[in-house]
Amino acid sequence: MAVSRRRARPRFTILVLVLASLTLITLDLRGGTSVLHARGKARDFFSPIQSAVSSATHPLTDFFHGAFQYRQLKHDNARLRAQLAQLQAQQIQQQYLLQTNKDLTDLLKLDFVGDIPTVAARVIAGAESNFQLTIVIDRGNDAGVLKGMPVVAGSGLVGRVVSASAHQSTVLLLTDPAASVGIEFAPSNAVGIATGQGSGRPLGVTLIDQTAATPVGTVAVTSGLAGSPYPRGVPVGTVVSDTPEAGVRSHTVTLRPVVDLTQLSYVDVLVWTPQTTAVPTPSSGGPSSRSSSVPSTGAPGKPSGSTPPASATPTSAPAGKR
Amino acid sequence: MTPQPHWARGAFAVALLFFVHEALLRGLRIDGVRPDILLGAGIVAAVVAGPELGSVMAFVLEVLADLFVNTPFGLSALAACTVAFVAGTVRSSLGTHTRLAVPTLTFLGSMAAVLLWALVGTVLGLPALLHPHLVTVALVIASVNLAVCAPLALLMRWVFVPVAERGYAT
Repeated sequence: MAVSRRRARPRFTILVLVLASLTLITLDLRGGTSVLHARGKARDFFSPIQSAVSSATHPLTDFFHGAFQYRQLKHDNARLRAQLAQLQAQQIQQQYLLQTNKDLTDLLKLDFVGDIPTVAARVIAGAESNFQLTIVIDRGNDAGVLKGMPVVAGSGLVGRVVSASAHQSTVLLLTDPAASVGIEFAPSNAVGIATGQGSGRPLGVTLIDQTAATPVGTVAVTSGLAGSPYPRGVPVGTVVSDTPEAGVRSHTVTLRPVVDLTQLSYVDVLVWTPQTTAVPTPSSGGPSSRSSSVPSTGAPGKPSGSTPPASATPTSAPAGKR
Repeated sequence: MTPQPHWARGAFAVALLFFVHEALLRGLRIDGVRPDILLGAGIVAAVVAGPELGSVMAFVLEVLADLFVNTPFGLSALAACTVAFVAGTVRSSLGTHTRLAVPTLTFLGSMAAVLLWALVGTVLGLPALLHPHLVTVALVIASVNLAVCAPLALLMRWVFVPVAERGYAT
């Protein structure tokens, strides 16, 4: 009797643990606030320790990184040398391209993006999980960063905030398979949805009009359609391949993100939330349907007219150009 | 004789492992993969102290780890405690003179836990987990845990096994 009881106890324990795990998973997937709260508190509690240790052990981490990535570094070195030669050749064209870029940006009427306040943040950690492409930034709710806000860097879109605690936020990168963004192509106005396909891979594009022309090199920007989590006009990527599919009038399009998502140091969080109210018609003098996501400088859930957080620094230039 | 946990030592071990994982090893990536010594510690605990205590240790460690990721809360704990339980059961059935039990079960258990995590995650609707890169993730995590299983075993023996019984958990 005693032997059978001893044997049954581990089984009972594992049963309890499995049930507890399933309960936690269910609570989380159903959007339980207690899990979010616990995660936020844990990150806030541990973030000073992480930052201090990270600063102290940075040289050691870099050493291991270099040791484990030797082959990659060698490859990168060769690639960068080739790129340098190419860039020198392209330098002559730069002035012309800058002017062209300015003209195209003016055409895209990105002016409203420039009114969106931003919160500058430092990237303090890469992906915490091996199964999600995320970064951790050192700004959270206290700085006005909220879940869902778009994040940009340098020349374009990085992703959006998927969780925010008081002092830290996690940003889901564009390349994560769970990330998708509505896009439009500058010259043709063709719209589609770009979806992440993993680290180092281009974004896959599903075009609404499968016959639309999207030549290689075309720039895609966020479409900002009603309810979109991103404002209109933020550069997302450039077309790197446009392959016709055999037998049907459609083509497979892929985009290379304009921002190098593997080398992020600083990012800007756009203090912006989508507006899903009815879109004014062009005849009423309002914005066109494509620009229905009017930027909001207040935080979601706060009354309209609320002032942006003190640390939010309004920008005068379109976020995608900075 | 069943190993007895020393609760204060257990709490210290959990805190130490958590600090090493979340602070010291936070920036370490091997072929783009972040090591998971908490998973290894749970499996080693099961091999050293048996399926019951090991699965509890694995559960506690991975619940803490789940606080810092955005994947479903409890998913890592589910995979880790299940694999730790199996590893502990296998170890118990092998007898006392199996010196390779800790490294072998740690390596295989780590791989199994990663694959189980991805399978359950896919069932829960997480995208693109069953990808060739998963093999790399599993191999790197298992290899790192294999490399650190000896100190982890020492730590777990210090936590769970009474001094008089330390010859048992080899």
